Amino acid sequence: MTAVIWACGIILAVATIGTLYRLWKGPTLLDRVVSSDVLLTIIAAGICLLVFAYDRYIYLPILVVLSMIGFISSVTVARFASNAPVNAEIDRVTEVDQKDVEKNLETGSEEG
Amino acid sequence: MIDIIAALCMIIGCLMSLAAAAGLYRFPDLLTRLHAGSKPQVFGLMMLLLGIALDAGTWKVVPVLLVALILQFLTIPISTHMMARSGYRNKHFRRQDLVRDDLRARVEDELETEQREGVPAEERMPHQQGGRA
Repeated sequence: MTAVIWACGIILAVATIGTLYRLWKGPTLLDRVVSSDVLLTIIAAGICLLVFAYDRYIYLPILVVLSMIGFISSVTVARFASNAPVNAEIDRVTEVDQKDVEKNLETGSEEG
Repeated sequence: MIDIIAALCMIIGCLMSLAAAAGLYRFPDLLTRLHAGSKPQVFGLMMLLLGIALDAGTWKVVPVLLVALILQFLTIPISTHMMARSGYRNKHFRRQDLVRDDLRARVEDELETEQREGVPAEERMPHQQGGRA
């Protein structure tokens, strides 16, 4: 049984390294959210392993709390990341701003 | 015997985490990474909780495990769907990899409406929104 626990621990450590790589490197915000969600799941798996190894069933409600935290954080970030501009959008936005500036210069209006 | 099954469940659950990490490391864009990342959150945790229940050998721990499992079943599809929706609308995926794209027409229609009326779809009143995908 000790060998099983060691094997599970090593597997989880390797999985943590892969997930942290994506968290560090991830090109977009949502990639980082996905990888932090997976990291939270790996922590939950570690708590499961702790319960399995030492028979500490008092730690089981932590799993419930962890799933709630993961849900709330990922939904919040996904909801408010949906208006963040990406490269194509940035080009469009700056083009529109440039047109506004030129129009204001032509008409000489103070507004805007 | 039941110890061996419990140990197998634990190892499978941990391997799911490893598979998710490999998928996050290797896959090219957001939607495929979401596909890989959702595996340990549902199936892996189910296997780990089954291993704990088999190892405990009593029915006392089963209600807490069921609460954790059902909460995970309810919340993971919602959060994954929200992230996929946000990623689609921010174009965080490679369009040439898609075989079929049913959402494209609807999103482009919404964008046209937004540009015509000058109000973002998020801020319009509910009766003006039409069907939001």
